[in-house]
Amino acid sequence: MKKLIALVLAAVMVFALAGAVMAEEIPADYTQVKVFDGTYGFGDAEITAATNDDQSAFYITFECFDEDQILEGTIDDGIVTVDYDLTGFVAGDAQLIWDDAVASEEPWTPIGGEAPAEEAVAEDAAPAEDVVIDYAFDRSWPEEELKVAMAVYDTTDEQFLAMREYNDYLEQNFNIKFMYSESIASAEDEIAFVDSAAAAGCKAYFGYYNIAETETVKEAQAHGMFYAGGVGGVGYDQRPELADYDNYVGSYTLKSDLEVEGDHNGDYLGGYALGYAMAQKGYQHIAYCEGGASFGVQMFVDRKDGFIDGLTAAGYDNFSDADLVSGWPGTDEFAAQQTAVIAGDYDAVVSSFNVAMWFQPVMESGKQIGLAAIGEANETYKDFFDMGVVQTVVYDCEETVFGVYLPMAINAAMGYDDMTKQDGHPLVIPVTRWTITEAEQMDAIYEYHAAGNFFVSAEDFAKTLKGLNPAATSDTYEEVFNLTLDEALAKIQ
Amino acid sequence: MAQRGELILETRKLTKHFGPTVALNAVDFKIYRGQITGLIGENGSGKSTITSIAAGMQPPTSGEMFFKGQPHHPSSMIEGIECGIGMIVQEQGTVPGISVAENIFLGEEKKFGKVLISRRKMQEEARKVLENIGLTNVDPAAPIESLNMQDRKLVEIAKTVYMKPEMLVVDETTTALSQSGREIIYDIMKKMRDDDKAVVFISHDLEELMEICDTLTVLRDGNFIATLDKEDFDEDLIKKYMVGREMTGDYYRSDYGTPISDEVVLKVDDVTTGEGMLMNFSMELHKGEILGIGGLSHCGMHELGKACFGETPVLRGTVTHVASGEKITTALNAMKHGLGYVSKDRDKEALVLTESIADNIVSAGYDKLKKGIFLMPSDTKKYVDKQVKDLSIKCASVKQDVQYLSGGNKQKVVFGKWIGRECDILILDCPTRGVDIGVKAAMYALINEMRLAGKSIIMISEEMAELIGMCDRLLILKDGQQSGEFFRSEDLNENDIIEVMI
Amino acid sequence: MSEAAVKTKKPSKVNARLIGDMAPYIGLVLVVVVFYILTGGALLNGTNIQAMANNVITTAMCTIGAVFVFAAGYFDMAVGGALCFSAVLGAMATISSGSLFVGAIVILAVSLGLGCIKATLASFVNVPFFIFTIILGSIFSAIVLVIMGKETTVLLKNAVKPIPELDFTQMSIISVICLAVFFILCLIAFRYTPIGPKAKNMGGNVFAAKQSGISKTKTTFTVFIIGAIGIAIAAFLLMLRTRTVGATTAGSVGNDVMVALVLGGMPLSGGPRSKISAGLIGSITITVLNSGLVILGLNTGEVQIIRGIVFIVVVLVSSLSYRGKLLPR
Repeated sequence: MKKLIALVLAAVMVFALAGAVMAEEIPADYTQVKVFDGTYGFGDAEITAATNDDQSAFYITFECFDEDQILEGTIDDGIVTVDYDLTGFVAGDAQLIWDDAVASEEPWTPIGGEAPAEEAVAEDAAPAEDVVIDYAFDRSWPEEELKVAMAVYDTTDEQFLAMREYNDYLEQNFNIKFMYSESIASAEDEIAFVDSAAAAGCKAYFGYYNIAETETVKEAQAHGMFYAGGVGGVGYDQRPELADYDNYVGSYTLKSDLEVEGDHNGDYLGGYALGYAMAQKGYQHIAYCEGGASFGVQMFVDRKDGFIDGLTAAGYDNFSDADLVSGWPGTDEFAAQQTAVIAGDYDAVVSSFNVAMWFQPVMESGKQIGLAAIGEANETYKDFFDMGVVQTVVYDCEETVFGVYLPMAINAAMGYDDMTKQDGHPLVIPVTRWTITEAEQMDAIYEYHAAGNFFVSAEDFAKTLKGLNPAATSDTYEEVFNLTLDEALAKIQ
Repeated sequence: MAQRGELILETRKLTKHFGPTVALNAVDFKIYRGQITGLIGENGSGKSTITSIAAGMQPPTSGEMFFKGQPHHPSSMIEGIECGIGMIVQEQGTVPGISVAENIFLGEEKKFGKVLISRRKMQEEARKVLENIGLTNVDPAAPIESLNMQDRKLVEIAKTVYMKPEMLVVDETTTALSQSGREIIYDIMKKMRDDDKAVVFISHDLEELMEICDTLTVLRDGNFIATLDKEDFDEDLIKKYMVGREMTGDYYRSDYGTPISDEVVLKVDDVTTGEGMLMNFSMELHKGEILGIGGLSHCGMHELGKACFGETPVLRGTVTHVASGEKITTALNAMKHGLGYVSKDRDKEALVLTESIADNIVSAGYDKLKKGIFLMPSDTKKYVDKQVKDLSIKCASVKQDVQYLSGGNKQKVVFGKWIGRECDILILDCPTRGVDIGVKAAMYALINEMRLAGKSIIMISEEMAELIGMCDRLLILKDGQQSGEFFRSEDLNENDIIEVMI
Repeated sequence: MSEAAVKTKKPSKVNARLIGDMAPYIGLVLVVVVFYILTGGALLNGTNIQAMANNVITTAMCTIGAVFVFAAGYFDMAVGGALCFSAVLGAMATISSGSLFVGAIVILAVSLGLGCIKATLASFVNVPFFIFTIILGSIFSAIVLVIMGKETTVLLKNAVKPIPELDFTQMSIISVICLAVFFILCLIAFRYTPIGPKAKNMGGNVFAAKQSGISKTKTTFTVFIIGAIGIAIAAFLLMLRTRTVGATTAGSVGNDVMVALVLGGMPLSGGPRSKISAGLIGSITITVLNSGLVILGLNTGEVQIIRGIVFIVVVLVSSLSYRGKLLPR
């Protein structure tokens, strides 16, 4: 804990310094600045980008070709117009630079040392607020037991079981009780569960799975339950109509711990991370299991697009449609493709879904083929990671990714309206899915969980509950839950 | 010439009741080694009953049996076989779905290997068994269904003979066999006799019995009548023993000389049925007539009844309801024209056993009872109660399942089904089968009443006495063709009829 | 059997029969009481009763209609498939026309069509019917998937004109009314018209039925059409309530119908022991059981065990009232 505080203070100092330094060079019109790294036509550079309050004007400085570069101009609806180019030959990159500035996860630091902007605080740091919660973690809060319903697609699914372990942990610390559905197979099962949950006295509903879309939210609202979770897999950011429902609290949005240009959804980012990581590792001929992409299932199309872009971003140019393995395991077609891949000269296989069905064939073939997938931090993956068979896993850590729903729902149920909205609309909290590329990382995560620890401990969790932490705001969710892989691993140290 | 050996089977006062029916009445019977003993009698005379009790198929109600001098109470056929009594019956005794060899050694597969059965060895043994009775053209590995009925029966026989029984019972087996098949059986029987074993031969065919058997016993109505040795065989005498019975007064109809109306109500024209033996058969049913149809089993009379009701496919010819001029092709249109049908196969075809008495009685009367689309319980109750009362159906309640009733009462329920409908033409197939004397009498009275009310009745029966006693006219069928026609008369007796029947 | 024998058998047989007949009612009451206690009263609070009303409707409509089909001796395992098929086509029609009425017509037409297909196969093809239904169930599901294409669900909110929305309570009321009306009509048909007796007769002994002048074809078509009407109403109400229909819709209905029939005290082999009350009682029992289990929050394994125990107990006690097999001939 002390180390964290030290780290935080250091970071604050650096920023203050940076702000101070920047303040000398940057014209007074500009009120906020950020510093980040980027790669452009002229090469790599550390960019200092400044803008005004409404981001309608920019002032960019960096160094390249051993010269100071300055770009200045206006921004209209995201499109930049360069008014001033110091050296006269970098204007062409202005748009790219500005886009990166916007996309960069570095925060806009106010120039002049004002209080931090309302946007998310630095993500390098763990919770910036050094808050001490006065609570014994003895299930004495809340006073009245709070029931939370959770809709589940498959009650035997690993991810759900891991989630359930976290829920059990929370139940031991807080006076909350979870009510799980049976495996929901159809819309009517889901609606029926909402009704049953209401009848059982649940005040909050966690849409871990959702099939009936906004009908479920509506039904929950009819029963006076607050709904936290995705609808059709996405949240308010992609479904503006959710704002019509007063009881709809919000959802997460998946980010990657890699830096990715543009605004993409979790599926794209997952695929991107896989492609980028494997290409970075130096694989020469990578096969990709595209799952439902060939049938047009959007989730897999996004993953595939992300994957290909990730490859490209890492400089891999050897990808073609011939490297695609389509369809699902269990069919003769898939088996044939699998055999062809292993017999061929591929040195890596990336899967847009589970990759477990490749373990044995790869082992039996005796070839060095690296596997990557969106998967779990479970014993199987850990073992195969240790053996060097699995090389990359994109992992949604249950407590950091899904866990954020819970305080949302709990706060809402307890009536803390300010914790349930952000700028007047439902919450969309960014959380990071981890790209695990080293066996040591996987081991660390697995061991940590196996010992009964969670990356969002009960203490951390409590910080997001207004009832226990009066200083909590809707930003606190991100502070607590949005951990990158490095930050999470830092916690273990 | 029969050299009578020692006594092998003896029954003393052997009695068997089936409910109220007396199948065997204190019968004393002896079978000797080194003889082929024939058993003859009418349907229901008890000849099959006595041997099936001996073989262990069913227990006697009372009396004793001795086999090879020892008291004999087999509890099952397996025990019977172990004692040394083998039986071949008329019905199909082989098991479909397996090979000939597997049929022969059914239940004894362990002989060919404790864990893995050696099919080869089984088939070799089977071949020997078949050759033993002269069946050389049957392949032991062939599936049993690939054989025709006769060969299947012969396989069964081979199996039974292979068991080396001390006493072999051949029960009405020859009726289904061709001459060559019969020869095989005769050879087997003779061989067994010569080996000092005993053979009991039951058949309807008097000629055959007289030729093969060394001694012949006649049963009638469950009673032992007489035993004749070969030298005393006399056809007329035997026939007399078979049928001679007292006809008590008004058991059947008492009127004679009632004229038959000229009006034809049902016409059968050159009918050949898809099932059974009926071929190119024609007849006419007159109004107010009781027309009897008789013959041996498989003569085609049951198919005739079904054809008249539209219940069996008619390949050629027509059955016509004369008043409307319409052809009878289905049960539904038969019923529409006022026909009713009491099936011989009561439990399987005429009743729903798991259903109540009331529901069974109503089952043929929906169209009569319904008002618009509705069927009111009050109407059905009246309908049912009337039948129960009129027919004196003995039951605890009309809601009782029909399966718990006695044979006679079940038959009454079936009657009730059709009488309730007030059918004009009634086809009765073996209406008093399995029914005790008291109920029989009531049924005859009922049938007579219907006749007097102007209904026309076809009565198909295997009991000659009944036909003679009840019918205005009697047609005898043999092998699917009409072999004789008789008219009601006091002088008509069974001997006349048997002539054309057998 | 002699008359004397019949009389002595009467007391024990009748008692067993009585217990057997009452078993479904006793089962229902027991389930309600036990779960009421275990859930601390949550089972019967206002919200949950409405919820159960909404849930029971699908199974009950299908099961009440299925009583006719099963009574006639037909083991229909394609009920869920037919419901899904009708609901999907109905929903697609509703969306493209913007009219619930059009959707309802389509659902009815499709359901009746499927019922007639089943009836045709049952009447004219000489293969045990339940084999067909297994295949039919798969075929219906497959066709639904093909029709739906890339979409996994059909959402009423995508209709060209807004489709009226009903709230929770309104839905409960409509469900109860539909159920009551359909049940009463089926009760009348089953007990006060020849339809029920003919179906039971056929289910008891198809040969005797034929010889009694009961037309196999007519009776078969009648029972399947009644069944199809129940399925159609269930499909419509389902669409109305969840406003989301997809290939997974009604996935468990097929099983639920059979369990409901058995819990309602009717043998699956049909015949004279069939009763129309089985459709209603069994469905309610299942719904109460499911509701109670969810509220209790047991895990999947425990839920299955309890369901299994309830099922076995009710079946064993019910079977006292009838001899014979539970499974189809």
